[in-house]
Amino acid sequence: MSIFQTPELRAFRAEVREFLQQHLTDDLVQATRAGLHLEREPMARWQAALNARGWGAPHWPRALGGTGWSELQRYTFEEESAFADAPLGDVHGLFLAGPMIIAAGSPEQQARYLPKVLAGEEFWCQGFSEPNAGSDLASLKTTARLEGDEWVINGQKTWLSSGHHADLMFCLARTDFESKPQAGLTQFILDMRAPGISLQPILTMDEGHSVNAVFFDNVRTPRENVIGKLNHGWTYAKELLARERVNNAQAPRTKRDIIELDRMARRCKDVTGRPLIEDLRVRRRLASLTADFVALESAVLGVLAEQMSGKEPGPAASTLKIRGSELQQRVSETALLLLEQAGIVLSPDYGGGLLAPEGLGWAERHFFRRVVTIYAGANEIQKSIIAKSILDM
Amino acid sequence: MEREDIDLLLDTVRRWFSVNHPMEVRVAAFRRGNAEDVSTWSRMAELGWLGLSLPTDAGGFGAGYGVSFELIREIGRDARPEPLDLHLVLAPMLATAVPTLAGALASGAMRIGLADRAQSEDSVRCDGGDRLNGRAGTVLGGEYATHLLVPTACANVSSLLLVDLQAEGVVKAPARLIDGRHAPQFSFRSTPSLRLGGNAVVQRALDLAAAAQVVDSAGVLDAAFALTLDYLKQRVQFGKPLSSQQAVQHKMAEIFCDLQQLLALAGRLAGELDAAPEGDWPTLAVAKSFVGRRALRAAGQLIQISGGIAVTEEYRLTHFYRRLHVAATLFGSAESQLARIDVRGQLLSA
Repeated sequence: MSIFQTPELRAFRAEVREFLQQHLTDDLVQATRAGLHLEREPMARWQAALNARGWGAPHWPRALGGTGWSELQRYTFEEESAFADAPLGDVHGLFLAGPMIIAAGSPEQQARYLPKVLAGEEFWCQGFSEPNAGSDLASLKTTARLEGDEWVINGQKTWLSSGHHADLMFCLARTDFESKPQAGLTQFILDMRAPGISLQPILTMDEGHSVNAVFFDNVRTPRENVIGKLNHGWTYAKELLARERVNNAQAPRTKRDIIELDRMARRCKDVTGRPLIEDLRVRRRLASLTADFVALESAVLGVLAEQMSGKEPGPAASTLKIRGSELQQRVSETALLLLEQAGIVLSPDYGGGLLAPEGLGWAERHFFRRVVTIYAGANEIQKSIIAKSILDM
Repeated sequence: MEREDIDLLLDTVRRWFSVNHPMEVRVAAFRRGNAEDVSTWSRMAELGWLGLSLPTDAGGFGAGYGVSFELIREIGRDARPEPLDLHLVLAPMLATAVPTLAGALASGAMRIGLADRAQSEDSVRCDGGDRLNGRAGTVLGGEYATHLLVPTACANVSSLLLVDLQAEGVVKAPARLIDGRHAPQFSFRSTPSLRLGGNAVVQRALDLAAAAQVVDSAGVLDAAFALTLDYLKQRVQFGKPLSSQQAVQHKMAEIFCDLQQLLALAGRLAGELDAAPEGDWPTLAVAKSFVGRRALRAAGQLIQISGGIAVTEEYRLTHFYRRLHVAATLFGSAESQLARIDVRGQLLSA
């Protein structure tokens, strides 16, 4: 019997499905399907609907808005949301800023920021990477200096996902210039509308705009906008990145994608008019994706179980990130292989699906996904983390 | 052609590419696509490139495939939008089939596009005579083409048809390839055509185009590799150049193996084409499948070790990667090429 087949979990799945059927409107589904990079409005609207049901942030502690679900419930919820093409919410608020503020923020910060994340009213972005501090994040140069009751930030950040949608940024900046690089960093909360912040879009291989560069020119933030302790920012960053890497595994969305591939293989035909699924090589390819997916899912569920009982994921999250990101790339590669010409011919405005409706969006997805093995710490960095932090090599 | 002449030609080609819509300029304007300009075609004719591969008795330079391939590699290195590669490999075949066309091919007055085999259910077919109906497969070089070569099946007989795009019933709809090149979609309604040959001719045309894609890919991967190697030596992280990290070194060494093999396959293929212009070319299926199986993955790894910069639109690697996807897919994907490989024939043919 599948681990998802217990009576409790089946009842729970039915409850989630019913909620999705009642509240997930067609325009939200269309918005999710239409492009890789959602606008803020549908994300905010869906987050508000989830929050009204008490499902705004299932993985948070119950006292702060969480659901108290088991890992299988949380996973089932994410899976059903993915199957139904529900929009993702603001991942930066829900999975990064929120948990960091829960772990290290003051009660005042928790009261000020968490409810707005839950309600979908405030969006966050992540100010970590810099042009010369990518894999080597700790070498970052953005500075924060205290002037009276305000911190003054100068420097620049890059790869701000959804920066153009965000109200707030958590920003890692240097506050101690004498000690070793990791020891002198602090986490700040910045208002994206503060004077001195300017954004510049960066277009990615999929020809979409989801990331930005940002420049700080004497940006001021109140003294109390430090998350946790001064000069402890690196520790919080490591914890945050581990949580992010669990999320990077993207197991539920990958499951949805493999199901879509299977559907495509049943509908699309080869030059001789035979459905692709009748080709043994195609079936083997899909089966091997499925096998690797189930292996990933099993490992994800293990980490989620610890997370739902309040434990931080730690360096083991790197294994999920490596295998999850590689699988996402293989899935979209397979889609382009199956689509053949339909995968490489686009309408003039870069819409897919010109030769076959199944082709819609796969080229964009595939090109954007070159980044999943790079962002949140390139997979080479993840391997170093595993070797050093787990294996003590 | 003497080696000296070839080197002179390649120097000219490189210099001309570097000042006429070079890739840096096109990348900066990628929103308009990797667009070609019809005027470059007549200038290429003036430079003599369009006559390069045409037979001498047809007024050409009679250069073999080996020479054409060296030029095509430069085309790949600069990810040129003009379908010069297609012209170089197909013009000799066309001029042999219809000798009166040689002059127009050399002057640029006749510009040919080639359709891949159609995948759709409304794909092109004949009405029994020489009239074409339906939709062509993906066309390379179709944007400014005057004529199309279209593979089709007429009453279960395969044919390669030459279609004058001025003829009646030709419908052209805009589309583009994922690397930005224009690839309009063509469909026909009772359009007249000229039959050039049967199954063997269809396969030869597609294989010549596939060979050009192999060589183009070799140029693309070569340029992508050089760009990345240079970047890795400059980019400092953890207090030293990325190129000094062993994990990065090993990846580059792996990709270098792929690149060397691809270049070697392209060279071997040139030898086969020059030795037997009518076929067969046992290395074709091997080399073309190599593009989809290895070159594409190698380019993906170049992106990986370059990091974030390599997924931005303004970086050339992005465009090289997308062009390799096109090369891997058009005129026979890796899977379909693998299916053609006869193990005993390959290994025991001596």
